[in-house]
Amino acid sequence: MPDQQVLPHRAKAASTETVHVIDDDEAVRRSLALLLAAAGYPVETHASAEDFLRVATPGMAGCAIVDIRMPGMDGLALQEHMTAEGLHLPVVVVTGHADIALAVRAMKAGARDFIEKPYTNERMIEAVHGALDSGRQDVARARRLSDARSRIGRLSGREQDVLRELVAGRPNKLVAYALSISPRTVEIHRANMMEKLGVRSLSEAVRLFIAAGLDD
Amino acid sequence: MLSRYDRPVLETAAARDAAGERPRLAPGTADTTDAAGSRRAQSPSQADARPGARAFPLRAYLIAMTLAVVLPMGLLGALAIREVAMEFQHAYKARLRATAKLLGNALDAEIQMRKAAIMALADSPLIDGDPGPDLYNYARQIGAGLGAWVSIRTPDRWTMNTRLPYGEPLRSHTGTWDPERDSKFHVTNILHAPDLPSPFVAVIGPVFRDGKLTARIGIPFNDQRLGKRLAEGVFNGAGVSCLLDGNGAVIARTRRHEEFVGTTAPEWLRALIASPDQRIGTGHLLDGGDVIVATAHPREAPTWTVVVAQPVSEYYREWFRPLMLFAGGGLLVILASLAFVYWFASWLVRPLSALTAGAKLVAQGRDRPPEVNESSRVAEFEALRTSLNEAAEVMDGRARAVNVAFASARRERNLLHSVVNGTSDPTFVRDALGRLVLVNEAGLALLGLPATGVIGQVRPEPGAPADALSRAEDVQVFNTGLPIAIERTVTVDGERRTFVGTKSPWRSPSGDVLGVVVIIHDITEWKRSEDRLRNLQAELIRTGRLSAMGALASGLAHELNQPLAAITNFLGAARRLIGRAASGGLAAAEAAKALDVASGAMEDAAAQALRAGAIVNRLREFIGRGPSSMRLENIGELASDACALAMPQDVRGRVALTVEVAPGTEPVFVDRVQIQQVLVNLVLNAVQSMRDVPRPELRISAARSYCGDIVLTVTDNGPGIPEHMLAAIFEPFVSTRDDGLGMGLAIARIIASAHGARLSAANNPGGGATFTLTLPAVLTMEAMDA
Repeated sequence: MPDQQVLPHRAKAASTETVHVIDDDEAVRRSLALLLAAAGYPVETHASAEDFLRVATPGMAGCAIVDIRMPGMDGLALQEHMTAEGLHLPVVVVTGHADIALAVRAMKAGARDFIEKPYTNERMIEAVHGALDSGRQDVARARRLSDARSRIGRLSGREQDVLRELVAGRPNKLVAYALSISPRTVEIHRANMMEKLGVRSLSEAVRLFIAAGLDD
Repeated sequence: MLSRYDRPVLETAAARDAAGERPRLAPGTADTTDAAGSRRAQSPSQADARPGARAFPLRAYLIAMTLAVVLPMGLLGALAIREVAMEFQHAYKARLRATAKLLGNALDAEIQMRKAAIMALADSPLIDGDPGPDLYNYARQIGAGLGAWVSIRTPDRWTMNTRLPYGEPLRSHTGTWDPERDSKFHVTNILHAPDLPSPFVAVIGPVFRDGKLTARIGIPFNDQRLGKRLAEGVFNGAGVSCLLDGNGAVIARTRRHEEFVGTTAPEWLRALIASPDQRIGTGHLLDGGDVIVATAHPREAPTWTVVVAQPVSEYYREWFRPLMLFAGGGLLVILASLAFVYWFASWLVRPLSALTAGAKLVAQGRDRPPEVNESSRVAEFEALRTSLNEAAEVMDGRARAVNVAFASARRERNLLHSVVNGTSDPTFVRDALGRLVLVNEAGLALLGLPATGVIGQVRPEPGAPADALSRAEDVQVFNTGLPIAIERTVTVDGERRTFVGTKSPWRSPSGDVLGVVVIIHDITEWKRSEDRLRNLQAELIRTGRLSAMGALASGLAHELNQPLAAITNFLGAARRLIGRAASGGLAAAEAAKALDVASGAMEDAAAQALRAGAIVNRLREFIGRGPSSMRLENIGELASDACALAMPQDVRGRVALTVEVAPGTEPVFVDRVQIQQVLVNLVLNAVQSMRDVPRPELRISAARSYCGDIVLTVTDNGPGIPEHMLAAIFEPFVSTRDDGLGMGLAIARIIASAHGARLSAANNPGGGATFTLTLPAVLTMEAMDA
């Protein structure tokens, strides 16, 4: 359950961005919330990973600060759950000094940053800042991706084939040979494709294709 | 050297033992053969001493038994024989009497013939007138028919006798005229006629005319005819028959008639005839010796008596022979049966005699009786023989056992001697008066005594502050019968040495305390090494604690980081809020609020600092370098503290912990730090073992057992202890973990035993392991020292 916001935060552009503090220790949770609020971030605190998952929604923005050692679901498990449920919130993992191995695992599982206890206030605020930034970039990247995908999705199957061959760097003639169509037809498809994608040059189309993540 | 003096002592003790354990042995004889001999000599005399037991051979009893059966039967036989004999006698007498009667009847016939002749003559008219020749002839003719003469006589007129020529008068009358007598027929007694050579008897009959007696007629008996008649009735050749008249004179006789006729019969015979009832009698006849006689009176001549006599010898022979035959036969049978019984008894007794001979051999000193192989046909004797043989086996075994026992007693005596002198501990035994009864070489050395002449002396005990004290201790042992132990520190050769002496009672077999056995042991070295060991152990325990600290470290770091992080955050927040308020960019109300929040944050920070301090304190207490101290502690508190130490917050959240303290568990008397170390170890192990368990459960319970001990259990639901390690889990360097040193539980067990407690491990039936710490209800002094 989100705690009450301790201080009015500065009205910034991204007013929906919230820092979620997830820690089982009441004092740590409360003090961190107070610190971040004093630093101007909107904060919500959660006593356990389960509490957080109960209120989390896929579209939420911001970041999560998670203590890696918690009774019940711990930090790593929470990360797995978030990935499974499509919560792409950047995660900052807080660890004790003996938990470096755990922290490395958390990083490999996709944590944005990790902070070793004890930490300075600046380090924490910096980590939150970074996490929020990357969260925002993630959102922009996601928007770009979905835009590219929807644009490519508008092409016909043959036009997509032609685009894939062109991205592979083949000239029109070879494309026609590979698709068993005439070079002329290839050129028509190519012109339609360019027009549908709204690009002016082939290099732009290629960038769009790569942005859609179809070049694997 | 010493053995000369304490050997007699040992021997006396052994002898007393022997006398006490086996009271039937003669006192004062410890020697095997003597004791056994006296025992053997005793038993027969005991048997003899039984009063009133006069013994007879079995033969006598069997013969008496046979006699008891045979004699009544013989008596019955004798009675039967007597009956038979009497039967014989009766028959004989009856026959004798019948003969007499028969003779009487024969006489009756003779008399009746004469009566008929007389009646015929009396009826004749010839008799009425004067006697004429006709009458004479007639009378003579009648008389001739009878072989006798006839005599007729009138009272007054005349007489006639046909033995004389006709008309010749009778010179004398042989009988008198008696009208009353003569008016009836009758027979005469013996008559003597002067003209006749021998006396005679006759039948007299009356002649009546007109109712008046006119004459009498007499016809005598012919001797030949009478003799013939009598001879007809003689019983047999040996006997004699005779006819007596009314006066008892002999009328006729079958033998020696001429010699006896007219003589009077013997007195006894006459008496017999006179008595009306008796018909049979015995007496002496002049010619026949002793006889038995039967008498009868002819009907026609009641005054006469027929006597039939038989020699008594013949009479006896008649019935005595069969009697003797029977009696002799019976006697023979009795003798034969007695002889048989005698032989039978001898046959029966023979195996018994063999057994008795065997028993006698034992009495004379053989260790075991020879086996008797001669079997008896009598089941009881056979049983006796087999059981005696078995008894012999047992005796044999027992004798061997006795020999072995004596041998072993001797061996033990020597052993005691060797042991007592072989030990380096001074050992001595004192009696009730404090005199030395036994002392070994080490004891002599300690007491500083010479090797000779110390037995029986009173010597003070070394190291005793005063002799009175050691006496008092002796008296205590005497009175209580319980051993005591004394520890004394004495300066020997300028060095302080510690001795432990045990004083235990020397008991007689009946349980009386005869003396005090004192064994003194120098424990100086032992005490030193014990001290060293104790220090080492304490060091080890402390090291174990430090190593446990290592295991606690990561958890504690996290635990300690929490308040530190919170403090940093609170202070950072406060700084920012204060900075913002001080910058003056805020409204007064907002600034005041910010300062208010900042102050709260600083208070929180202070509280968190205290929290960190408490954690550090707890840790420091656990390391506890100070000397161990036993105090009354609450076991539940100990358990909770141990959990707080060993289970950091995150672990506590993950593991379901139950701490149950039963109400009956009073405070325990323990060293808090050490027991906590045990508990921390157990909890750490439990938590470690449950790392991969989805729902870890840790359960700590304290309860009082039925015997009062405090039982503390730590139960987890982890994988449990591998079976092959269960036995060795408390050994050093044994660990279920790859990174474990294996010292924790070993040290925990050392701590437990120092508390007089037990620490054990077991696997639960449903999985997981349970460690049980059993603290004693009553703590001993050693545990308090530890």
